[in-house]
Amino acid sequence: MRRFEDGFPGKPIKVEGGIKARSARGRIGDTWWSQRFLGSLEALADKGRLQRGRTYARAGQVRSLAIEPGVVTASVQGSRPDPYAVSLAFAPVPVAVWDRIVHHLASRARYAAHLLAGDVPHELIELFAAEGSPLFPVRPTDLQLECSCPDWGWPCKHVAAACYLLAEAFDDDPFTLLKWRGLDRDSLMGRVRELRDGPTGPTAPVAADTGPVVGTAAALAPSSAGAADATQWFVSPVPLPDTPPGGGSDVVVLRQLPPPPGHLGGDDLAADLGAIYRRLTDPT
Amino acid sequence: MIVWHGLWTAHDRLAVWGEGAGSAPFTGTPTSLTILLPTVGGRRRPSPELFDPSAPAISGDAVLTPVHVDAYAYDADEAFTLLRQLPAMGLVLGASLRHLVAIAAFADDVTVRGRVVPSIAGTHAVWRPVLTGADRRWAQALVHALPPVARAEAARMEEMPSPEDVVSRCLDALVDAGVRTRLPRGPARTAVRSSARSKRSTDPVAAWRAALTGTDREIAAGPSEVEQLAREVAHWQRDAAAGPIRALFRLVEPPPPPIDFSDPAAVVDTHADEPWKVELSLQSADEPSLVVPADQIWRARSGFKALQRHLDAPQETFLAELGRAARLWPDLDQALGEAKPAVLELDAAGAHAFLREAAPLLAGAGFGVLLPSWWGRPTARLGAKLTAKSPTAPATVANAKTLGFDAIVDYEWQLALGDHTLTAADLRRLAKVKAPLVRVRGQWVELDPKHLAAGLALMADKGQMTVLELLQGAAAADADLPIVEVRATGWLGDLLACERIDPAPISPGFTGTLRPYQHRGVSWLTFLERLGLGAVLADDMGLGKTVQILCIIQNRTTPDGPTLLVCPMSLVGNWQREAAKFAPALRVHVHHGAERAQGKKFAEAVAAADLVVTTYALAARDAAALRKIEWHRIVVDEAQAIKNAATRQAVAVRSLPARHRVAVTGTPVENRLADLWSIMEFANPGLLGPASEFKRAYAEPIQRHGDEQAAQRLKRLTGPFVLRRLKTDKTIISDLPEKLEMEIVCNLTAEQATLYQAVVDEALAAIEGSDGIERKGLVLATMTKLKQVCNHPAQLLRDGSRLEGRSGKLARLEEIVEEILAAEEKALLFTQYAEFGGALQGYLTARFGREVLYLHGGVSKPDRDAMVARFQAVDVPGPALFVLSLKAGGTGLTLTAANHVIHVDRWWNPAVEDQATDRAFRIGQKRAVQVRKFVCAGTIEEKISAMIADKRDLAARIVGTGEGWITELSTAELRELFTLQRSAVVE
Repeated sequence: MRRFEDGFPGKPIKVEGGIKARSARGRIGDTWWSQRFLGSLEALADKGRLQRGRTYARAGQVRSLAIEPGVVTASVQGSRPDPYAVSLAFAPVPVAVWDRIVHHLASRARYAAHLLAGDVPHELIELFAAEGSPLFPVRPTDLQLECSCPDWGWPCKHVAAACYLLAEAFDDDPFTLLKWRGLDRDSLMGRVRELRDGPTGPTAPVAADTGPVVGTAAALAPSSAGAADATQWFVSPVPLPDTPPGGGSDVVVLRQLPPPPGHLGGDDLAADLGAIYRRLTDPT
Repeated sequence: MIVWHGLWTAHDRLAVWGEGAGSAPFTGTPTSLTILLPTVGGRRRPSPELFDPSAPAISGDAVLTPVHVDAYAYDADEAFTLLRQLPAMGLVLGASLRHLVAIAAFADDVTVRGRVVPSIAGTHAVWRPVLTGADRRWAQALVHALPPVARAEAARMEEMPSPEDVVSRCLDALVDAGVRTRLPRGPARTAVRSSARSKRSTDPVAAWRAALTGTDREIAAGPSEVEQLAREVAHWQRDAAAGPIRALFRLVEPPPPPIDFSDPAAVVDTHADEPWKVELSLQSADEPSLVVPADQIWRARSGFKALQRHLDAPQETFLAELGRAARLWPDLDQALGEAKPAVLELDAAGAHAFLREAAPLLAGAGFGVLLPSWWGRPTARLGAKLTAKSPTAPATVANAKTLGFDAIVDYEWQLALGDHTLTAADLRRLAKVKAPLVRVRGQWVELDPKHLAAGLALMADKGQMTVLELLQGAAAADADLPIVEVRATGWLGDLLACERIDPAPISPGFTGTLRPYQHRGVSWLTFLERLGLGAVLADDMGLGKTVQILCIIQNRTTPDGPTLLVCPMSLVGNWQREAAKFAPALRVHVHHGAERAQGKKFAEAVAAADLVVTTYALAARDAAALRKIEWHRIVVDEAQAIKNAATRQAVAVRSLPARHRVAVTGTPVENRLADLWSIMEFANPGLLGPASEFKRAYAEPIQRHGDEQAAQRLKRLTGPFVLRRLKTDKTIISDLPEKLEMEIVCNLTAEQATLYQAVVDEALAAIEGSDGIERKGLVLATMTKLKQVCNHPAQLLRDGSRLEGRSGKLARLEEIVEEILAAEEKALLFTQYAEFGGALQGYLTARFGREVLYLHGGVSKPDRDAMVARFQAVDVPGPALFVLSLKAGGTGLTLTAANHVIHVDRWWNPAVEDQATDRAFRIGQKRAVQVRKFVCAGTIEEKISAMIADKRDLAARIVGTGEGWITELSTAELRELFTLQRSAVVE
């Protein structure tokens, strides 16, 4: 008897407001660390089966994804009315190991600087490996991938979809990776700070990444301006300085940005924008 | 008259609304707005630009009231185009609309500099500015300077949007429109669009990219897809600009080792073992002087107050900033190997890479970067020195073969590093040094092997070139080597080092007395004339440029031929009078007015004259006739009149043939490069090359990129031909009086003269048939009317008509105020007529786009004190012009921020006038005060002024009594006093 792959015939039920993978085609995962994570999964599980989850991830079948120390839980909509419960369990790095790793992280500003700027420093892999607790799964037993669907294949596409979205979450914020491995951002940074400074008083949680950085509002300092006086209604409260800017930093913005990621068009977008900038800056 | 105001609506549209009566040249969508406006007793208080003396005065405290106004609305694309055209439309713009024009100009500038990124707002694809450094500060200045009325679209004051909100929405929208306006509407775009559309836009990225051009900004994709795309785009661009708190990188050079400069081998210090350092800190982007160094950050035990805001997690903020910077500058990682990095050490190669590559990139991304002051200076690089030989200057007339731009001179090159000329041995030693940064005699210099090779080639290049080639320094520019010095023997040397010029003898026909610096100016002008070169005399206002010009004209009269002097209409009479005063023997012909000499008569008049005075308008209109004369010299006064090279008058003036050319201007021409080109093209045609070439080689590098080398080249090229002395320069001008009083004689326009005559005719008839109190009243009323006509026809007519171009006095006042503002100085303007004060405030506000204060009898004491405080404030940019009614502002106040006092009309009571002048000229005044008293030529104003000056018997009666004495004059005396001298009218 042939088993249905999905345990149930028919198309998956469409989800409103599900989490969609941002990459519309090709590979998922922009950063080396999410690639490394997916690579380790592919080495452990059937690559072909895994990749079937991409369609699910792109279609937004994953309703929710929650990352906690040691386990990621997801709710994935299949073809049955009730969504399936998915869990990706990876035993947290032992506390004693974390202690030593935190010591390492505190000894060099580079780790925290790159993590806070949204990058995973390469050395982190070696650090975890040297402690015998790899950052990414190595043995099949490292990882328990479970799903409430009746599919017998391993991993099923619900698990796979959750894995792809997890990879994208790692792209967005590398602290999510470390949280899965046992320590969240605030605890980690708090302990690193304590080791750096000695015991400190309670501090506010570390601000997450800032909002938009382009546009005028992002550049303006909050000011107390706004009070206005009826006698000065038609005039500038203070005159504009005589010389407008021009000169100074004339670096073309594209040079300041990393290459556009593949899912935004990659080199093709860069080439297009390059042509546009040339037209703007040199109208002849 | 209509004053046009503007605001940026809540729907991101430009709304233009008018105040006053008249027709509207706008084609936007008619719309109705509710805006808050100041009202008194239910009546709207007019804006200062609106001058309507017929309207009853509104006094009392204003309250803000919602008012419906009819407006014209434009979407962002239309608004961008309109705002860019608006300044040239000849409308009276209120401060709000002028401000929106400034925002559009900035949006355009940001766009053409490529400081924009594609982004997403809501469901729209948009282009957003990336504002860092000076751009960021300018955006902030635009917020601070936003007039309240530009954000008054509200029913209550609490509902008004903040200035930040309005400026950021407006600037963002105009940048987006600016980019789209500049992208060609070619087939390429339609191809992209149609391909995106044809796919039914399943791909949100393609839909986004398609919506980045054209006017349809809507991204054809689902809202959740667009929302996610927006997050991803933001993630990609997260390093485009740093936030309000950013990392600061300060490069510090190694300390100098003890070097014995007498040892020739020690000239080049090649063993710099000490490392360079980059110090790390946090800095406030708004207040760059607020810096928290790394060690202080690492000592912080918790959140702390710094950089004008509360930092919750200073260490993490710092680390995140360093992590972001490391993406642009990977070398930074070296410093991050420590637990608490504070300094990054670099070797010379690393320091050079930082200076050349990382620093501009980091600064462009909004990080703070502080570099040593020598970096970027031409002296910090290998430079070339040019030496030329030319014959001694002749005592008499120029000879084109040995003098002037085409003269051939012998030249040779030397190389220099910093102040040090290099010997062959030095060069050999330098060639061995591999480091890109070398300390030569204690000074750091950048050593590029390419430049060294180019320099060696240059040294082998000896020969001959023309003076023009030498000044333009083309040879060195090709080798990309800055010329650090040009020296010459003979006349060329004198030209380059203008202090070596011999004093010129002064003709006995010149009856004035020259101050030493004025004599130097005359000698310089004479010297340039002998060489056949043109001159730009750009002394600060008040230093006596007219006297210097009259002196050189008097010095060289026949048989050289006449001098043609071109000036604004308002100055014709002034030149006549000054010539009569300082060079009475000079035969002056005024070519002006409807009855001016034409054809043969004109030729005869010119032949019999030493000095022909005409206006810019006539120089253009009568250019054909003027071209037929062989002028010995052409002088253009107020040469800013020809600053736009393409205008008819600039073209006409340049086309007039003359042996010598002098441009006279009081504005700092050297800072306004387009103006400089046009003025220099008059004085020394060809010196700066064609306009397009000048723009490419100088204007753009200097203004856009702050290119020091180009600035130096330009200075060397123009310096010998521009003489500008500043009155603040005490080393040159030590003999300036602390108070300089000048009478400014203005001309009447034809309209003023006609009105004046009508008032006189009517008044004399009435006075003849009256006596007693009635006669006294008539005489005083006539006095007032005549003085009003002298001020402005609109003041007498009280009809609210336009002010521009109808009063000689106002025209002269504008010219003087322009120079004062250009010099960043402040002025007090006194008038005895409250309504004229109001008119001046409005007109000057609109004309110069600056706030003008006005103190009159109706101002309350708290308001007056506030005005005085704002005018006197030194640290913040404040109003620079203060109109005061003589009665309300003539006593008591201290207004020492002003160093100019202008009495626009006269009270004929020196004590009262001096008291008013003393508002500025009193304890606390640190500069010389220039006092200008305006009178109109040929009118009662000039006659009474002359009487006081001549100390005739009348004077005794005048002093201390104001104008009452005039009522005692006989009718015959009155007739003489009132009658307009026709010769004084110049139109």
